[in-house]
Amino acid sequence: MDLFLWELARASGLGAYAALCIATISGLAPRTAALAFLAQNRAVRALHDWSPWLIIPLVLTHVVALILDATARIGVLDVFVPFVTSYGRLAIGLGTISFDLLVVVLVTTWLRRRMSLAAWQLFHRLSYLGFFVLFSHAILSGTDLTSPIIAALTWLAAAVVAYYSFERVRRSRPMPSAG
Amino acid sequence: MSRTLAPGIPVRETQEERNLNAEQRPVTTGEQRPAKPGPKNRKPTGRTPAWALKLGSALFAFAVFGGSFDYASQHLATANAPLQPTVVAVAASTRPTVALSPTVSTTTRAPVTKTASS
Repeated sequence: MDLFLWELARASGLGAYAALCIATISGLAPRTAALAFLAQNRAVRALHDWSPWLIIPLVLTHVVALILDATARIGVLDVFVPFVTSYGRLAIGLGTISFDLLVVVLVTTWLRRRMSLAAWQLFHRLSYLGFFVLFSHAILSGTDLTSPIIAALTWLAAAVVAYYSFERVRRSRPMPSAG
Repeated sequence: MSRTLAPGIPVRETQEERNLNAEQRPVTTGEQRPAKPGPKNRKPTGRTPAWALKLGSALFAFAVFGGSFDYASQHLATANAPLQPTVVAVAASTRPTVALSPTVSTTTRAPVTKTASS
């Protein structure tokens, strides 16, 4: 049973990473035309709004499988409080922080109508930090990233997200006034 | 040519003033006009519907999940994995060792079997 849970935790971790890449890129796409070759902004926006239904099951599977796996020795507290595990404190702690940030981003998105636009944007921009922390967690703790192909795909996806994040920041800068 | 009732409050032009302004406006030829961003100048955008994007991304994420599960089941233990829970090291050090030795011992007695030949 432990072996199945271990395989499940590893596979759902990589699946969650793929889903978060989709969510991040589809969130950046309307301003950067990242997916203009594929669809119009309205469809891309619909994909971004729907992406939590892809992320939540995979992230929960990853977390629950690690809690139930006796070998991994991850407790319920470790899921919410970073850097308290008995081993791999930094690597696992970064995963905890990215999970906490994901919860904050999802909850504030669902409470969007009860918040001011500025407050919601502030919380939603935490997703950039969350993705960076998640990537660091994957690099420092990912067992499957010892495979060159999986590592290359993980780095490539992160590079695409980083490129369009910088592009998004560049395009949001005010244009210099003529004359 | 715009009139103002008070500073900063513009008043709409009369038709007469509009005609006068139109006469004074420079005539531009087709060559001078800046090109409008028409369909030819715009980059073509994809027409994939939202449901197809959702389906495609779900299939992609679950393909990654399935592929990773298959890989993980084939590579259960990775020696150079970054995280090695201590329980593995303890289990490895306390594993009982089995000394292999031949189970058939030699004897000095004469063999009890014989091969009969006719």
